[in-house]
Amino acid sequence: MIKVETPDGKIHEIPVIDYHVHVWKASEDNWLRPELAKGWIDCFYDYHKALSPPEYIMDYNTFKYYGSRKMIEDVIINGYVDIVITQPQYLLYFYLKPFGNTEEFSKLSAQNPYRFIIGTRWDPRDGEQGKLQLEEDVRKYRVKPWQMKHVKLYTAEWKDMGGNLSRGWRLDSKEAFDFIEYSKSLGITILVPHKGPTVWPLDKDAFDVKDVDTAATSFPDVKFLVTHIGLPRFDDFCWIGVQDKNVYAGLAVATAFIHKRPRYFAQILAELLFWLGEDRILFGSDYAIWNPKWILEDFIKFELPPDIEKEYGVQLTLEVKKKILYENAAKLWGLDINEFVKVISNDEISKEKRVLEVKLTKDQTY
Amino acid sequence: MSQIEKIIRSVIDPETLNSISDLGFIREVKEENNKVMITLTPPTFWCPPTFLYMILEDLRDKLRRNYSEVYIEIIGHHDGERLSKCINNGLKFEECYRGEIIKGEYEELKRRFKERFERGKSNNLVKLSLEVTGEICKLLAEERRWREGG
Repeated sequence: MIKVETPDGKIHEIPVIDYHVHVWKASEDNWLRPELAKGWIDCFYDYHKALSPPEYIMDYNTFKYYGSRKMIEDVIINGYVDIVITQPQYLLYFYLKPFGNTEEFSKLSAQNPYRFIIGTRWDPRDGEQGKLQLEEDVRKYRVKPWQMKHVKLYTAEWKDMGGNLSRGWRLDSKEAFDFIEYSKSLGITILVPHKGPTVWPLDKDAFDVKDVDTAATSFPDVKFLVTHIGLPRFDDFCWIGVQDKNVYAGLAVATAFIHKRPRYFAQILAELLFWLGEDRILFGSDYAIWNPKWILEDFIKFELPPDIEKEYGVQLTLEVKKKILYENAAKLWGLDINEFVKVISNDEISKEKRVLEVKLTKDQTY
Repeated sequence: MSQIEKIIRSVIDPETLNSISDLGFIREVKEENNKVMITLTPPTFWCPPTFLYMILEDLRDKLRRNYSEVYIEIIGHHDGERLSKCINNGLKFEECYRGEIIKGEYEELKRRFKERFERGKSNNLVKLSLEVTGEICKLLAEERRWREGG
């Protein structure tokens, strides 16, 4: 929760929804193919260290497996986030048990479904077996209507296909379309595609986001929350976002620029406000790659530099920040935020939870 | 700047507009009697083989114009061994990944990225996209070098 006092004396209580939080398991005991499993978590660790302020850097062993308790401490108790949404990735070619785990998070969402929102993932290469699993997971984990409404889709997942290595799949394939139809029938209406670097076939641009465009056009009633705003193809992502009104911008990764590279963050946000508008941008930290505490402390006070405001003709007002921090996500997942705040202000976690208090001065934009 | 430094600096990553020197690719350069051996590591273990190959081809061809023997080794990449072998044996990308790619697509991708690169000079959004990607790569390369003690 963030409490902002504006110069007119008003107090704004702003709940925070983080659409992108992990509880992963990358410790050695879970490595199936050690070189690849290590390569994966080392790469995450480089991202973590590259953009975090030094005092937030975890030691490597903790980073590999921190468990749900530390996630709750960092993200909710100290990190000002009120509602946590998870985005699991399985990576079963690298790890023995799923890397980003649906099961571990499901314990949290079963106990406290107003605090923790669970989703799962699917892979069209899993075929009928994958559909059965999906159905079972939805039945098992949907303890409230807003649970299991989304799936993280990692199109660059490697998979052993009868002795041959497949390095990924495309969202515009017939098999993926079958899965989207099937997801709809199970009440899964939010797809969270994420691009990675080793998509099949190899000669195509692996980060190409055009398959999202095809899928989004074909399924106008499904929402596509593109995580990491399609980086490193941000330009293509914006053009897709203009055409497809069911495409949303997930800010995880972009938000991490706020501290070390604030001007890039301002430019990215200005482009998004200009092309997609303020109703389709969602806050995410990608914890544990980045801790939401420092991102939120910077974001709530963040102002677009005057030359960028002028160039793009957009403003980052307090009302826009509220949309990014919770309103847009609440709308997408169909959450009645007042009801949620009422319930979570009385749970166990709330007793320890810190509030970020900020007083804005007259010369700050609000 | 020495001749070899100039050659390396002139190799540009098609995804970011940056020279591979600034992206921290180079780990070791050995030069002797018109022979050169270069060891390089991309900013991430997962660097897409397609774009990495474009960089390697450019580097190899430029070096071959100036040296009688050229050897390039890629370390710290998920497919480094294969890529090193292919580039030193003069294979085309589609020969290197036979059976995994569609004919002609690699060249098409190269053409598209050249165009995007040109567009980035005047289009602010494309420029930003390239710059932000470059910045991430630079930061990652720094971290990686530090972690690996390079």
